[in-house]
Amino acid sequence: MSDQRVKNSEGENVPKPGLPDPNGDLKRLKELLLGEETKKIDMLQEHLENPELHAGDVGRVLHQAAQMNQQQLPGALADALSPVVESSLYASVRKNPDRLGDALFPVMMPAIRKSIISIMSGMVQSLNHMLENSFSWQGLKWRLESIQTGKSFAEIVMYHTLDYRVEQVFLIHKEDGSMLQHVSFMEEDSENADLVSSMLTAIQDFVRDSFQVEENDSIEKLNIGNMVVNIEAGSKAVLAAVVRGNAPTAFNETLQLCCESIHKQMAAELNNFDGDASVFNAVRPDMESCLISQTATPSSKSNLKAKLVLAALAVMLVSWTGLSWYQTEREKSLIQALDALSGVVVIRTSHEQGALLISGLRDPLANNADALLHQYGMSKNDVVFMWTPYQSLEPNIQIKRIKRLLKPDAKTQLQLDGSTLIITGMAHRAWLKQANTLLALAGISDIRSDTLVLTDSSDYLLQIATEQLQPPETVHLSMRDETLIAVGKASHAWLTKAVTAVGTIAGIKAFDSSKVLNMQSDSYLLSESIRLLQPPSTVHLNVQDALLAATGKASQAWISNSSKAAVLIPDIKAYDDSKLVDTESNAYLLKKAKHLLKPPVSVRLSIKRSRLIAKGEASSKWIKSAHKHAQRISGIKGFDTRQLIDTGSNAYVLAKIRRKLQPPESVKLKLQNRQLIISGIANAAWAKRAGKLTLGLDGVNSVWMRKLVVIEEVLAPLKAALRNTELRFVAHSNQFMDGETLKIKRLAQQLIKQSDLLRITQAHVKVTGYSRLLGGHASALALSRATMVKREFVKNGLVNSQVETSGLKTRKEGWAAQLDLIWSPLP
Amino acid sequence: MSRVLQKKVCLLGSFAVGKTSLVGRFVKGIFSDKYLSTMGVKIDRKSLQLDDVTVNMMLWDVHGEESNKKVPAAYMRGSAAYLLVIDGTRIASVEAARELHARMKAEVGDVPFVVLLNKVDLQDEWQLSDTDVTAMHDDGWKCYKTSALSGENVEEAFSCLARQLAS
Repeated sequence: MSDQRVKNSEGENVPKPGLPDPNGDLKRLKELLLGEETKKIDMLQEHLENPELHAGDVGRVLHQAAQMNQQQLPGALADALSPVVESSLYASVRKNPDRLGDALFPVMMPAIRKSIISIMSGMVQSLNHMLENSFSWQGLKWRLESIQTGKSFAEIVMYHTLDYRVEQVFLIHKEDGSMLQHVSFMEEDSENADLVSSMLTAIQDFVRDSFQVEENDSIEKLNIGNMVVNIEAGSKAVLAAVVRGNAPTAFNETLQLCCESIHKQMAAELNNFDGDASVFNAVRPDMESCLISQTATPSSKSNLKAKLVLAALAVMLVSWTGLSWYQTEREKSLIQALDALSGVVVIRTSHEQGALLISGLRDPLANNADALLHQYGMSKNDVVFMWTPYQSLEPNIQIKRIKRLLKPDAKTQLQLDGSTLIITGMAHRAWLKQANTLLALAGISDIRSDTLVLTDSSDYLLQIATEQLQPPETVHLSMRDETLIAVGKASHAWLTKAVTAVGTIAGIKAFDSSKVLNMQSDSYLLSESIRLLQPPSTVHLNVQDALLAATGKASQAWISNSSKAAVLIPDIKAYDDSKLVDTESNAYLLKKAKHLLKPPVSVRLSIKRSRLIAKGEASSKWIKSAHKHAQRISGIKGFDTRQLIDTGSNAYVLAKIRRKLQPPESVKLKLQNRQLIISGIANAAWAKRAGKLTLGLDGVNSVWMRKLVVIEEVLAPLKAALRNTELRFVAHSNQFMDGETLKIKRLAQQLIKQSDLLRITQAHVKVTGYSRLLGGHASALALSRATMVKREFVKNGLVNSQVETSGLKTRKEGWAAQLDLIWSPLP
Repeated sequence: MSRVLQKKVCLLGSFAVGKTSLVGRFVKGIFSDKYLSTMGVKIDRKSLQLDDVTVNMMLWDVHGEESNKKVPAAYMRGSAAYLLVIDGTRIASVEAARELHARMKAEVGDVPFVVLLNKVDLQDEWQLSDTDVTAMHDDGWKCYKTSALSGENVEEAFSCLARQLAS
């Protein structure tokens, strides 16, 4: 098959020319089988080889590839692209800087604005801090304004140092008043900007409605204090700027331009406003460009200098004027003070060689004028005095003159009332006489001395004596013919002192104290004691050498009180009451009771807590009379006879009989209508003795003993019955013989009848058993028989303890068990 | 992304129906009531968050209409919605509300509104009959019985209005 094919010029196998092409069919077949695939392969081939198509392919998958790359190898693509992007940007900025500037503008502007606000706020704070630490007049003024307006101090400073400042700009929808955008210097202003916008619109509406203006007319400016709201109304929106200070007129133009620009830029958004103001963020840069301010120009430096010089001159002028005014005032005051001095008259003053010359009249008795110089801050170099002597008639100078003439004592006071001289205080009669003469010579005729105390008068002497002697209230002093008389009572010490003191008073020649009672004498002390103690008539008081003694009888209360009161009597040294008898003491009362009651020897009396107690034996008659007498004794509050035995009473008689008869406990004695009844249980011996002793008993008419049970009389027959009873048993056994138990039953019945007696006498039945056996069982059988008897007794009513058993192996003729009754004598 | 919508909402009603007291507790305001008596209007803000939309209703609290003093048309203009307040203890306030509703419709067209039948706490003095209320419903009025004292239904009324404004 290979020879049928040749290679063509391009090296392809083609069928040989002239030969039927076997491949033609093959090709057709190929086309039929693989036609579609061949086309696709061709297309792919073209894509691989054509760069444009290839770029298109890559472009379609590039973003996906970048995403996958970021997920699989984060950062790898960024690293790879960084140098390319950097160099591209660099090239772009070099080529056309505006383009990138425009692109970055919306991003940069807010950032720059924020940064500026932050710097401004920092600056305001530091300014605030600086100013708060500085004190100046203006600073204080601004601070006051800050307090009044409630604004921060720094804000106030800013307002004053700024010429004007556009603080806020509002963009407001004209129709519904919605706030579209707001920019401000202070971020905090933004919070309520929407409310302010609406209100501003409402104000516009209000004004327009109230004053009936054209529809399109609106408020252009609102002036409030140093603040202005400039309003620029467009067709759809209103631009309002809040300006503090005076903005230049050019600012209106700025605002207008801004408004127009916004309308142009945002025409569609304004027309289709649906409440979403975010689209208007785009106009913020325009509005921010309106937030302008200008600082106030400070005054020039040269102006300040001139002001300083003027101020200095003013200070100097004021100082000089002040100083001369002060000098003149000082001299004026000095002259006034001199003129006011008593005995000084200023006639003329002048200045000579820088010194003040003062001439006038001066009384030699007037105060020294030099002292005043010092007081007004001047020296003798500043002032020259030229005085002409004269006699002043001013009262204090006249008084000085009179004092010099009369030479009065320090205790004498002189005073002028017009032309009358008033003499007060104290003086001697002789001085007064001499004064009268001298004053007449001095030309003073009118003298008043009615309140003057003459130190040699009797009243004065009495006053002096009273002061010196200081008499007690009990002493009265008086004067008679130069003799001091004392009447009353006083201590010995005072009298002695008074005698000495009187001797020192000039003018008193004698002291009569004969009528003064010596308060330390015994007689005085006794009368005082009687007055103070008020003793009863039974008490006698006596005082000797200041010792008080009391004798006689008195109540305990008086004795107690007097011992307390006696020590308080002045000058009584001691009080003796040992010889006083206490009429309420036990001993005294007992003695008195014995005397009155006359008790028999069998009675003992005693006193306890004011109660009279009688013990022992006494007749009813004595007891009765004793009760009566006891009541009469004062100091006795009761009479106790509980321990006193009435010898006429049954109890007493019975006790006496009991002592005589000494009956056992089981015997009862009773006294009834003088008949002695003896009952109970006794043994025969006591019954016999009692029968004898009861004959001839005091206070007993008869004796009745029928109820007395005599032990032997009851128990002896029982004992005999027991002893005579024979109890028989079956041989070699403990079995009773027939009929034997009946005997035991009968005996038991008899014993039970006397059970009380058996108990009292501790009586018991003794059973002894016997056996005839001789072997080892004998004792056991005997005891067993005795036990059988006991069992039978117990069965018939006796108690175990009333039967005692024992066994004997000896044989007793006929009997197998023997009985007996044993009892104890009575205690 | 969350949106913020700002809408003018008028608060209308006869005098003394309790408009100011009704909203006082629910709104944010910076102006004193003095504005009401001087300018006849006071503006407060009521913010409501509905999913991702914040609706800031700028409430124009308009002074109660009296015979000699009409509500200025300018205050009504541009309203996106309104609240009609009726004093349930004063039947005359219904008529006043109807008149205001008509004026509002003429001024701003068909915008959302709700009717607040106020003073529901004064049951003893209540004058509105069921027939009156039914008549309002028939007119397509969405009514809420409210009380300024307890705040009953006030938030609900605002929410209803805000939803209509956000849609």
